[in-house]
Amino acid sequence: MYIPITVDHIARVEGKGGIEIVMSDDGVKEVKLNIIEGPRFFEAITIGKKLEEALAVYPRICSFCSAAHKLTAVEAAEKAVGFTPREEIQDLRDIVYIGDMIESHALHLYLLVLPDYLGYSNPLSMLDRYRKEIEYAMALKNIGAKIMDYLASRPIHQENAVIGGFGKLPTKAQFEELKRELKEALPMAEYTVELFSKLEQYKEVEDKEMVHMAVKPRNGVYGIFGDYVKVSDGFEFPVEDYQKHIVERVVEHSFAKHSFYRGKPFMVGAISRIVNNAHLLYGRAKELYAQYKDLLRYDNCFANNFAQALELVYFIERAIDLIDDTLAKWPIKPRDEVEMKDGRGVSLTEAPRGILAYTIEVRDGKVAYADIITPTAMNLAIMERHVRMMAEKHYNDDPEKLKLLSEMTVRAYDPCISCSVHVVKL
Amino acid sequence: MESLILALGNELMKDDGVGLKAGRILAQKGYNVIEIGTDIFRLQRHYNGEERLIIIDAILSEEFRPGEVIYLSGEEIFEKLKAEIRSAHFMGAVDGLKLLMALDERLKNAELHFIGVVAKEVELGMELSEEVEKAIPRVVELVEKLAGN
Repeated sequence: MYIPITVDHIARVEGKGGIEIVMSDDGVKEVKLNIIEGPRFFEAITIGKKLEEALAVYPRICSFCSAAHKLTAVEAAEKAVGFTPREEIQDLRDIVYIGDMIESHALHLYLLVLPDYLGYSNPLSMLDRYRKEIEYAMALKNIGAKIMDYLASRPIHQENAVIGGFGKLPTKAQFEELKRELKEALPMAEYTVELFSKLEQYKEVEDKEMVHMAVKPRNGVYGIFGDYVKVSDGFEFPVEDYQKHIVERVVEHSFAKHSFYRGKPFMVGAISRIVNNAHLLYGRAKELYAQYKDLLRYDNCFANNFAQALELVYFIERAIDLIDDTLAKWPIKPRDEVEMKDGRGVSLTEAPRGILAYTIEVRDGKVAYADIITPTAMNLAIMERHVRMMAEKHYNDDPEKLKLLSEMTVRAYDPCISCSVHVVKL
Repeated sequence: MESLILALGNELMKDDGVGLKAGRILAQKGYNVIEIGTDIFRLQRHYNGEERLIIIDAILSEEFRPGEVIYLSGEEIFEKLKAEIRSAHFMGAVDGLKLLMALDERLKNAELHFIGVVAKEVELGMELSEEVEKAIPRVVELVEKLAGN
């Protein structure tokens, strides 16, 4: 007898996806994540477009990760045409990207993950009892959004970030305002660490074979941009070689390809960054890392939630430092002229959900080839493995409990399954 | 009475971009428009206490024909747009709006209007279908009527 347990639409993940667990008399027969994943199809839209036009399309793939898409695409494009930005421009890009990181982590932790642990179906129903937590979520999200608003001009589509630098820069007073608000946000981030340190990391999905992948930060400080990828098995490879080491395979049940490293699933995300790069943390986050090291487990995907909480503290402090560096160099020329040349550029950056890979090939000022792999696509295979582990431990339990635990497992990865459509139904 | 126009959608998905395209026309005419995209929470940072909110978005409907303009107001918005599909992201725009209203008394008291255009094609592409394109002047006209004090 087969009993299919289906979650048609995983509540509170970004986009649309479903989990299908097929049970037989003697256990779990099959687990499938049915995913509709958008970005892959967007590559096609940009082929043949002028480079600047294409760079306006990429951030539209996702409202929530628009800075990540934009800045990764810009770096790939600059590499393609043989341009390297000045250090102060790179610092400003780090600040924008940190805005994305803060906004995304705050939403994920408080509005997506926390309701499960507190026994609520959605954040709205939490409001009476946990108003402070919802307000912290919105305040943290807002400082992230404000950073992107000030530096990237338009809050959603980042049109101010361009090849060669920025269209225009915020005023010194705006940087000072951001710094002040980031300082005010720091206690909320520390509260987040304390709160999430108390939440269970389910042992059912402990996986000693977990392999984590993260970009090796370029400047020796825990961060976002880099030229190499580190794997937790000790291997490193240049970002240009990602298509050799991150091998995508079509799977029958999903529109999205699954990714493998040396034939096996792997994980990317906040916990993967911590596993590979924790020694590069500094400041309060370094102290918190020492205090909570046992919770930052390489072998449990639920540790990703806590890793995001720790990163909130880190990235807020890091943004303050980068703003100080920026102000020390003020005034800054926003943009350098870039000469268009033919070429191919690869950029791998650390998006909130893990490695985001872009390859852009430029010919006669137009995009001749583009390849995008999102962190969610990289995580799909290992996500499926861990849902299966959870299902195997709970197949005799109440199906509702199994559904919830399976959804929580998926949510721990903070997947962004498809940000492409949002229409309402009448 | 001050109005804020919220343009929702994703213009990479054909008719889903109708809200943004109508919103840009209104912005050029001098109206107070914010492009929300697929993240309703952007509203919070850009809300300055306007007493009237006008949401423009694409809708899917089996009952109405592509290009039809549907108008809802007040509570009716939450009652009729319950079943959000493929909704952005964890909560969907309507539930997200409810949360924001619970957090901000001014928003809770604001007059709410929703203008939806029935989509024909919601798939990869940057062009609107002919039916939806033709609906834009009606959307603009309706917003101007609502926003006129």
